[in-house]
Amino acid sequence: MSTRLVTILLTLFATLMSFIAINTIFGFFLTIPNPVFGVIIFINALVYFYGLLESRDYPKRRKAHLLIGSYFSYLLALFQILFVLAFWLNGKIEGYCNINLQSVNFPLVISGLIASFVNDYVKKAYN
Amino acid sequence: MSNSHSYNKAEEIGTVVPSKYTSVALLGNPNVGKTSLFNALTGARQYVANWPGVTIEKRVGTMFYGDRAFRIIDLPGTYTLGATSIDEKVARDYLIYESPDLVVVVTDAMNLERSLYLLLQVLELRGNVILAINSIDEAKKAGIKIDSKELSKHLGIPVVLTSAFTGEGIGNLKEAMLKISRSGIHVHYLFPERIEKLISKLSSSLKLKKELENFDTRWLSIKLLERDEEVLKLTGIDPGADYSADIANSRYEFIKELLKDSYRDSEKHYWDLNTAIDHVVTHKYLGILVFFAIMYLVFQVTYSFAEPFTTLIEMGFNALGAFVDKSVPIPWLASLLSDGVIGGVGAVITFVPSIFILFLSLGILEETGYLPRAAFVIDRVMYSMKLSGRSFMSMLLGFGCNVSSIMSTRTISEPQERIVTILVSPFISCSARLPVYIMISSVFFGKAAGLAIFSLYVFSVLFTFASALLFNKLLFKGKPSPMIMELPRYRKPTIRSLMLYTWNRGKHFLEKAGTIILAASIVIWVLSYFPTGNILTSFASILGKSLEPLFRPLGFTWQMVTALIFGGAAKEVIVSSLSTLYGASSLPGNPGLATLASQITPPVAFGFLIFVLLYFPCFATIAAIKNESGSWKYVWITVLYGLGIAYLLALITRLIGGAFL
Ligand SMILES: Nc1nc2c(ncn2[C@@H]2O[C@H](COP(=O)(O)OP(=O)(O)OP(=O)(O)O)[C@@H](O)[C@H]2O)c(=O)[nH]1
Ligand SMILES: [Mg+2]
Repeated sequence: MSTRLVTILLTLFATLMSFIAINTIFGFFLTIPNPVFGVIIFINALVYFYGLLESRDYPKRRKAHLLIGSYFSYLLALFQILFVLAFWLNGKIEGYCNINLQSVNFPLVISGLIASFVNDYVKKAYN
Repeated sequence: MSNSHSYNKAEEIGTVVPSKYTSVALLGNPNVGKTSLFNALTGARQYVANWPGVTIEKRVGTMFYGDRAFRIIDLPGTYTLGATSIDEKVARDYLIYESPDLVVVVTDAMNLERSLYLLLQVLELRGNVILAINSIDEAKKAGIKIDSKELSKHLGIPVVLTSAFTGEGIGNLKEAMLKISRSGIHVHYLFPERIEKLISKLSSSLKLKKELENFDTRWLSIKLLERDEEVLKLTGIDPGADYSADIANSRYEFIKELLKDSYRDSEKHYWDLNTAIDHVVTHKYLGILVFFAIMYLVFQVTYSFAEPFTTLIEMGFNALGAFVDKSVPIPWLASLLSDGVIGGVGAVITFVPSIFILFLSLGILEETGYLPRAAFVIDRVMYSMKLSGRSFMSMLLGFGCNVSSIMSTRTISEPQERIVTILVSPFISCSARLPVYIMISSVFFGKAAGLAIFSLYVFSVLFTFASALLFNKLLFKGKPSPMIMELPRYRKPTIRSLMLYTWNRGKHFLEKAGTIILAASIVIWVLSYFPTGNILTSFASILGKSLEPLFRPLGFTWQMVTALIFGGAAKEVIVSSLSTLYGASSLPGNPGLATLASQITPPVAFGFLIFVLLYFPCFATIAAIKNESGSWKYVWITVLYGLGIAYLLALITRLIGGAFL
């Protein structure tokens, strides 16, 4: 995996997750506002950002940030899916429908799934 | 709690076994898999986790193999036989003073060189030693090759490659134990001549001492040359110069020689997955943020994912209660069963999914090896509070149960730091408080319930830190011990081990539900039924109302006060008491749980939760504080301090909340 690709991916995900963080905090697009969770997503963005701060002389360190960052994004998406599922199930049991398109936070879920592919790819480089 | 519990059981077994049992001690560095092997050999289910210092007391189990019965003893991990902390001393003392028939030195295949150091020390002490090289599955994966025959030839003792994970080599280990228990071996390896001469000189003078005839004189001599304090005192001889560096060096030399032909490392070790992960999660600033994020996810998961299951169980109990109410003809009995037993215990059982999910999450943190990293990251913050990251690790374990957190302080070698950690441990929000949080939060905070719960957890950590700082200032002027903890390598936990972990810890909760909580529920029911059959004029109300004025500034109702009193038995009892006092459907005068929401405001409710978090710990925790600190003085300090601050903060919460909401 080339250093350049790592840099590109880091930049991409850093920006993407920052946007999603802001979006989640304020609830602009396809999500309900959830400030604390937004902050958590922002921490994820920071993992990528700090990767960009690592010196170019240590490509492995940059790659480490991509590895952890992408895993983190994947976990967040997974968490979100399970969260919505549990929420829906609870409504179902109590006999009402309590979710809509907004509650899913699709931007987060989709980016997380993309991140999981990136994670697989980076991890392969280690074995 | 479960720790001390099973220890007693083990001890019982220990006293009834006849002497024809062959005793086998499992000794080794921390975290090499001694307990895992112990479980594999005996079928026990002792606590296993991926960080050094899990086992703090010796455990005994039995194994039958061939025509023999073995008593297997699992010991706390230790790096050397010159012990510094309480748990290491357990291992050393057992080996030296109780002299088991066999010793299995367990080592880590991925870290063989370091772990062989202890083996040499054991070989200096005694014979009948077996070397078990564990985690061979991981070593194979990493491309490490170990020639056990070659090793065995050079060392003169049986060497077995094992994996407690896959079960590989366990049979061989049993076979080796059987063989040695029949014949026995004793080997010596030699130090350089200069040291050997000193040894033999000392040995001959030691042989003249009658009182030392139970000890190996060669070993005593080596320890004297190393200036081991205990042996210096024991023998009353002072050899003068300190040869410990020379002796250590020759041990290392020997190990190097030994491994030259029998151990082949793989080349690709360097910047592996472990290092990469650690680079990020132990980053100076990022590490703290990541830790915070993980904690948030853990508690959010605990609250949200359990909700549907909680709802189901709740409905089940409601139906059961209604059924009993209808089908039992005697009114007081129906009330006892449906309101006391089913209502009380049921209210607690409802939270079983939350508790199990919490333990599952903690299990993942412990088994992957993340926990010591969190301690490492916080270490710098802790240092300013004169504590080390090691104390923080104990505190983290308190999220499960405060008792296990207090027990785990045994691995802290600095006595003052240990006491401070014990004193503040009760303020970490344990799993038993969770049901109270969930019950109250879901009534008062609706959608923000998850957030309310998380903020209680954050508050509990911050408060614990602040208290540690205070206790350090007031009681001691000590310095923290630097955190010396080996970071274990990351492991992917298996489903089986996670299940085992979760069940082991969660089971305790169920046991409590069937004992303490059941008993407390019945007592509460009796108190709220008698003498008049009306809650409002019952004993419970007299008790609660007599203390209620004291809590009037905080806005607590008499039912809440009564629940708090009974919460001393176990914090979950607060939930069962509240649900009986408010919800007992067949007792006249009960207001129903929903009325709680109209009686008190959300700030009062939050103040109540803070009070529940900080006021006196449950009996089990108090007993643990007494035992581990060795003095009632410390119990009083932490209990009175907790009560006082709980009152103050609940008051402040009410005032501030009242001003803003
Ligand atoms: N892959 C693998 N993991 C193992 C093996 N044996 C133990 N482990 C893991 O190693 C970690 C430590 O195991 P324990 O049995 O608690 O180690 P211990 O030596 O008793 O540790 P202390 O009590 O802290 O001294 C756990 O995460 C186990 O799951 C093994 O053979 N293979
Ligand atoms: Mg152990």
